Amino acid sequence: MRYLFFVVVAIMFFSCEKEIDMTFPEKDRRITINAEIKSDSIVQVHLSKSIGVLELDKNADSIADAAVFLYENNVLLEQLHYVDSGYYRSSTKAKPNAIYKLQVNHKTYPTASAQTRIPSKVMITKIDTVTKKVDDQMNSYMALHHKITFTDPADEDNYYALTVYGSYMEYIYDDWYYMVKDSIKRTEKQYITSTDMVLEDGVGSDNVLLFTDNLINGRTYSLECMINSYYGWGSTYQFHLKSISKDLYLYLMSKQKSGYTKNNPFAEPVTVYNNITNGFGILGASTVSIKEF
Amino acid sequence: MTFIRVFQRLCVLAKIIFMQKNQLFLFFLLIFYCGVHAQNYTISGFVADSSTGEKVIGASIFDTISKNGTGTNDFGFYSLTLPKGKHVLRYSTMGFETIYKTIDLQKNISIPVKISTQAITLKEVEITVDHTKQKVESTQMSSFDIPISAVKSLPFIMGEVDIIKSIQLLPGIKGGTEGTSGLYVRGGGPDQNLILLDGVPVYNVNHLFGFFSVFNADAINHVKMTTGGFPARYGSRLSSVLDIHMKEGNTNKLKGEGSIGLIASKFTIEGPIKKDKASFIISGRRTYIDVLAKPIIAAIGKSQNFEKFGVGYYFYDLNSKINYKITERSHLYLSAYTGTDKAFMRMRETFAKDDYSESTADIHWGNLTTAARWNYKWTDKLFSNATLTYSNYEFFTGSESINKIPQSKKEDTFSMNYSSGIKDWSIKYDVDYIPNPKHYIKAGGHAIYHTFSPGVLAFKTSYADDNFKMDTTFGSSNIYAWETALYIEDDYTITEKLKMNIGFRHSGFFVQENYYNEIEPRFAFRYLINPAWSVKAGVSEMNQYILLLSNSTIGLPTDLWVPVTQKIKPMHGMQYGIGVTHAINKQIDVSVETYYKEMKNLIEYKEGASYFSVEQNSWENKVEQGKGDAYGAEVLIQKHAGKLTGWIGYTLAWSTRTFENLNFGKSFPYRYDRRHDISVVANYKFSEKIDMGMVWVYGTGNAVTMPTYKYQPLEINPWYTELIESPESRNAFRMPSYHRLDVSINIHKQKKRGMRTWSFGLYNAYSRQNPFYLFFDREYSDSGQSYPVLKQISLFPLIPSVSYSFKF
Repeated sequence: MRYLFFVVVAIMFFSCEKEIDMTFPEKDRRITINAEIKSDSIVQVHLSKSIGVLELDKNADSIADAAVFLYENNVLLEQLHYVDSGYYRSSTKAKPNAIYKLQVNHKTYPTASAQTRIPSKVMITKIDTVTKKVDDQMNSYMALHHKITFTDPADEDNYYALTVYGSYMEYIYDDWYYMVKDSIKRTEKQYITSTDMVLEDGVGSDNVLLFTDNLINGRTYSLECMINSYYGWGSTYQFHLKSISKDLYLYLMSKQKSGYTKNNPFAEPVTVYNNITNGFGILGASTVSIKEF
Repeated sequence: MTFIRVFQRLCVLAKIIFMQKNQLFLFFLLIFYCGVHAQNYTISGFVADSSTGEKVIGASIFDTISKNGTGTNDFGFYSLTLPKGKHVLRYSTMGFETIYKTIDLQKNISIPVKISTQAITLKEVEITVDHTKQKVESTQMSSFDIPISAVKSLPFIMGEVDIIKSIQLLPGIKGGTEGTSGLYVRGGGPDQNLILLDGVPVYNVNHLFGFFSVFNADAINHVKMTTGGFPARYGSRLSSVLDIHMKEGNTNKLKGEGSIGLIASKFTIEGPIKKDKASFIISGRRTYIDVLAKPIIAAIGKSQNFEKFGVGYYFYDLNSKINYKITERSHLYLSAYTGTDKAFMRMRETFAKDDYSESTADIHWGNLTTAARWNYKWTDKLFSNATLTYSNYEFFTGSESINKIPQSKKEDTFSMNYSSGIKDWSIKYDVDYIPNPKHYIKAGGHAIYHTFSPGVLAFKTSYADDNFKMDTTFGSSNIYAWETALYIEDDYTITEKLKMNIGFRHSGFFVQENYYNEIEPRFAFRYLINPAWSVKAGVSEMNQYILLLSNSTIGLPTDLWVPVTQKIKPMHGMQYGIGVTHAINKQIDVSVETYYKEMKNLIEYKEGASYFSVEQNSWENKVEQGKGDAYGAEVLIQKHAGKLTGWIGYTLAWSTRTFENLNFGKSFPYRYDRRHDISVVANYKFSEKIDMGMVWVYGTGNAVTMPTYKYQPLEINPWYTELIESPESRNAFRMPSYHRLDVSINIHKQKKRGMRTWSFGLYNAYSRQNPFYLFFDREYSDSGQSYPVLKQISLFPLIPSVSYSFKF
């Protein structure tokens, strides 16, 4: 009986593993379009090939031989010129509040297109700092918190992305580490933590904070956040409050969530937002307000 | 009256009912009071199995003179009111001898009837005629009576007879992933099925993470599954009602049966406490993997230098019931079920004297259900049943460790416990009133007091050196709720050809100062084209006030039942169905049904939400509500008698979900959207000594969310850019299709003291590697370069089984 038991248990828990085929027909492949159209800036678009999930990443080459047409408020503005490494640029700058459409024609891939609108600019009116006690799992300490004040436009849905760039001087010494030979100004994107109510789920920590005006529509609001690094005397911080299109918000938000849950088998899968018809990627738009602290 | 005219009138009627719910009461009263006839007399009584005394549910009683008939209810009671004079009554049901009684009706009389299984082989044709006839004539569509004897001869994994898995073989009903006991009915979720054991809801029907169900077939008398056209007596779930009745116990003599299988053994004993007055049944089942593996586990522990070492898993069930006939009019039933799964680990390691480390871990979950039921026959036409029930489902996991510090009497200790559950008290009163053969009225009320324990996590730790101590508890406090229902329905025979079941149900739910309530109209009709053909249709509205927060892959015991709240609204379903039933010949019938189901306020986890989370209070923030719809067609060809019995079921189905905040608002297929589903189930009886069972199933692969393409992101890093590997849409990828063949052979032998049976089975006879889980991995080429591959995990290859069972 005992031997029989071993046989049964061995069979039951012998779960089989095998590779299965997954085919990616060439005809289903599509162009990837990535562009963030920034108000008052030259339009820059990146084109590349999408590849099957089982292919090697190096095959996702950029595309240099496409015809990229830019429409402004439904009127053809120009054909973008190819620059390098899959980038195409316009010769004119994007206008505030305009609607832009991209159409990409290619001999191999189906014609892909997308449309977005430049959102209204939302100014940072004030940045305040307060010192607050922070309790984490190990200990508690005092830290510098920033309050970024802005006025959300009423009667429209607004989407925001807050990024903070910290700048500091990097000094280059001589071989004896005695004399400063040179200095370079370095700028880095900062890691931001916040428990402000405007964030989805009331919490966020990343190098970009994404939020909407659902709870603050038409109000003057001060968003509170904490920057986790401090470069010391002489360093500066630039706060970029980007008013972004809904497409770009959905893309950035879903991409962020996808990154958080990538290796968690118990997490629900996340689909990264895609607004390209017959293609992959994102066409979004933004208008930025910058304030230095 | 032509069929078309009848159908048009019914459509108008249905419109009135569903568009003007407030007028439903008046309409119903009108039906209730119509058809009151001149002087008639009533024949009533109970129909029972002559050999065991068990009441026979769903037996047909038909007067061959007046062509009127009725059926026995869930307690074997019948009542038939007929004109004064001579009548020939036919009592019949599947698996039993048909008997006739001639009576000269001059007053109300009670006729208790005992029918026998003995003469089946001689009168097989008669039996099948009645069954197919019953099926064609019934107003109830989308309903399946599952004979336990047929279930027992089918092949199952490890030879463990499983009622839930046999139900998964019916059209419109799907299992979840391989081997599991989940039920997905007509595009609904696993929480949308009301599973009743003697009238008590069972919240977790899984043993061993869903590979086996909790129902012990030896203790079950009758199983009925309803997937559409719900009569008003059923409610509180959107998709199905599985009504399981336990045996009452043999009232004639002491009987027993048991079996010894590869992983579990079971034993049932039943018999009279007082002949023809009171009986009992006790049935138990336990696995013994833990007992058999004990010496091996101990040897492993010894090799690792543990002073004590034990790891194990087992589950057990215990069913018991007492049936007491107080008077001819009054019966009392007391029933109970308890079952537990338990996995444990104990370990003690000694390093030196007074220097040791000890750890224990424990996980267990289980149900306890109890029911007290009292039947009373008030008059020959009025029967009632009062039910008082208690049920409790508990899940617990905990671990504890102690480290003794050398040269001191101090210890470092750590313990963590998590528990959750749901507890119900309920009271129910149901009445059957049969004023005349044209009406069968059922009415009743139901109140449940729920106590939800949505999860409490307790930590306790102390470090002797640091004098540090922590004793804290996280989690939600208990939530209390009242769920109520009132219903009335009438099975109304308008003409010989046209019959309808009409009713309504008022459901209510009171939780945290919120009160939700709805009136749910129900309507079904049957039109008999000729004795072999009928058309049936049904419309039902359902509401559901409790929800299951469930992992989307397998049924874990951590799945949490929660109530609707102010933020989370009740689920609502509306189902429409139409079908035809045809008796091809005396043994075979066919039914074809189509359905459309709309569902609102369905619940799904948000994208990115993690099932395991320390935020115990946050379940409301982790879910989204949206709508869904399901439609399809089901074909069932069933052969009831002869040497070969069984059925072929085919389902063509679509099921989609639309959530504002999932998949960017676009509709997506439900995870168990299965386009084609086929089941072939056959039993062949070679002789009284040998029979064989065979099951073949095929299903379109489950819809899962997996990336198929990858592409560059918006922010491109010149040194290294990680490509986006995103699913194009939720549940857009199909797993490979599922198919499997199981066979079994049963060899019976009559011994001096009873019958013994050897059963041999092969699960997955051609060892198909069916998909359980898909994942991406990396392989390496000969040159050392890595490349991604898609892999599939399959659980069960060919698994043989053997069991020995006996009856005395």
